[in-house]
Amino acid sequence: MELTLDRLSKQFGEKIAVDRVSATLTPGVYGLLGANGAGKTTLMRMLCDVLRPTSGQIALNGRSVRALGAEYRSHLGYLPQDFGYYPEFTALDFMGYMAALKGIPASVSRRRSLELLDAVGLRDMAKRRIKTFSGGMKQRLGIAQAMLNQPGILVLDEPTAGLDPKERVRFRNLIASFAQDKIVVLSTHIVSDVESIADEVIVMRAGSFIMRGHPETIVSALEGKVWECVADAREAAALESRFIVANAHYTPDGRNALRVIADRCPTPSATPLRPTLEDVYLHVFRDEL
Amino acid sequence: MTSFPRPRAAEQLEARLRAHYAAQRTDGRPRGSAIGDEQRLRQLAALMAQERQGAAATPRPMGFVAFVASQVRFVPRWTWIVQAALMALALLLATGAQSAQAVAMGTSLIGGAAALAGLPSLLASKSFNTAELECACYFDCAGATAARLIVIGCSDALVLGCAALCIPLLGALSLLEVLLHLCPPFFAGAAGCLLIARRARPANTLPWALCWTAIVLACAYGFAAVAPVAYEGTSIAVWGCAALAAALWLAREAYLLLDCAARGLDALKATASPVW
Amino acid sequence: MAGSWQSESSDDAAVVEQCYGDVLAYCRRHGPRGSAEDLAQEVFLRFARQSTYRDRGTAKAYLLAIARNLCIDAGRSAGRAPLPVDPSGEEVAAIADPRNPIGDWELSQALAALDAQSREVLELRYDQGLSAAEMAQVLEVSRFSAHRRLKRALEQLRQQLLPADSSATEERSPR
Repeated sequence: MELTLDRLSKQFGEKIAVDRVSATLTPGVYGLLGANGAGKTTLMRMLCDVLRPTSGQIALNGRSVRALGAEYRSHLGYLPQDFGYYPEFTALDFMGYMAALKGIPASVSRRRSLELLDAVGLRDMAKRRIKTFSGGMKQRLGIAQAMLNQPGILVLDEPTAGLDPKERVRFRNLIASFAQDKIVVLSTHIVSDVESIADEVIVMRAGSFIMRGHPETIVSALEGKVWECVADAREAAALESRFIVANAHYTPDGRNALRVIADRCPTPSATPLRPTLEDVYLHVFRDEL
Repeated sequence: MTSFPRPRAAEQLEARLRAHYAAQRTDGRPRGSAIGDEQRLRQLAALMAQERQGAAATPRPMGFVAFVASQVRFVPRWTWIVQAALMALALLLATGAQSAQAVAMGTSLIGGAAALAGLPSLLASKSFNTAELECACYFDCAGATAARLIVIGCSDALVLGCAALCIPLLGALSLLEVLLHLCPPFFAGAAGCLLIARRARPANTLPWALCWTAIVLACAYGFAAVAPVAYEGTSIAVWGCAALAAALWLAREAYLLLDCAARGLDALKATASPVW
Repeated sequence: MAGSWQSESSDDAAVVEQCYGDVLAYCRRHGPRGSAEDLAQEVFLRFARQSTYRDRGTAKAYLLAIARNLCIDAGRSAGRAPLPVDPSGEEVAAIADPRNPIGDWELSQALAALDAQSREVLELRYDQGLSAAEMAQVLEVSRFSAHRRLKRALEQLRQQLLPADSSATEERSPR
């Protein structure tokens, strides 16, 4: 299975949200990393045939998604950011409603809904109304509905935003278990999500893909550019104004230990550190922070 | 057509063809591809069984008719309550001893209210922000909207049919009068509601729709006072034209609504609508 | 649900038994060289994957319809013409080998002179033994069209054979 994006663009009036993105995706987990406004959501909406591109096209196994129409959507599972729901619906009602929209016959729909609710740990909440659910439970319901039609392409927009750390880990494990043999595109601005489950990281900024590769490859681009500097208050302030400081804490003797990202050694006493994906993120988005 | 001697020659040709093909089947073929290989056939049957199981696990999508039927469950309960109340009103008008004018006004009210009652279920995607989820499904927003229009349309047809049946049957007004009092408010009301559903912000749709229904009813009553339906050829013609014009407008609005839904999130997002 | 699937799979063995030879023969004649067995297998797998054939006429006709489409696709991707393939020179030669007289040399020549569509319909009728309704199903045309094509093909064949046949037939039929 192969999803090809060919110079995909989306423009809203004057603003270019997605700028001639081209890529070929094969089964695996893609972590789409970018700040807010980078165009991630717009790109995902185009992937899911929810928004029409201004130019360019998407093809599944060589056939245009526009031509495939409903058949393409039958391969999709989508979890939007802040998805809406009918508050009076119970979880099971909602799954039944989404199953009908996905064309799943009634004979299969109830059984599959219950199986999926079980898989996401919402089985005993099946008959409760969605408006009583916490944020984490709603997200889990969201991913359950995305899996209803056993999609080959799973698109998740900021799935862990607003979840507490424990929920986030649980959610990541869920995604990992569902991701077999699928093309999973996961957008996030939480770096640790991507580090743990993505096979490939795509960094997006101002509507384009600026970096793409295995997490380790991307991280190695910053090899030799991350330093630890121990300094007093005045030096620390000077460093902060000149370089990107990823982290700062106090040493036992009351001085500042700064994690600095710089192309060249910032102070004579700086020691090199191993870079992380978060460092890459801060480095790439330094102008926007 | 065929002359008497021909069949013999034809039969001979056919026999010849059959023999020719039969000979090709068994001879002159590469070795190692014996057709009668029992093992291979059994393996193939086993593979087929696996395919069947695989196919059973991913059933083909249901047809549109089944989808429409499935949407009936998701129409809000109070829509059905209002529809039932309107049918009860029709019965009341038919059996109660009111004046013909009151019955006429009540009939128009049924038409207008039936149009209004279906509105919330049409708005659901927009009001609850589920459009984004729905657009990415097999039956996208256009399919969902079309299904809801059909369900509501059938329900309205039932209500109107009930009114058109009982009121003339129980003698209050003639069938033609009932239809002419019922249809223009219904068509015009529904068309206006669809327009409002498409253009207004979710929070404002119901108030606007109520205003519109009130206007439609006021016009219907006013018109009835000025040009009563009963017995006059020209007024019947005028009412008939009004009904036709309203019906055409309704068809157009339904088409525009579906077109809007088909264009995806660009058209459906509240920010894309004008500020009213 | 499970019960009905099981009953279908016991039909499978019978279908394979009865029709495998026919499907294989079709694929040999119409598919790219050397891929007949793979194509034949794919035909049966697709047959199993789709809904019950009871809605669609006989199993054999349905199988051949699938085979026809698969062979056309395979031929296309192998870079050959989309219409059913003419018997290759090798095949005709093998048939015509005087040391190994298989089939009817004269008839083979006459068949080779026909267009592919006529040859196909003759094959479906006299090799596969299909009825007009079944032929219509395979060719995806109406029964009337299928019958007409067959008549036309027979007439063309007769024309081809005529010079040699004039001595063979007992009575000359008036034109």
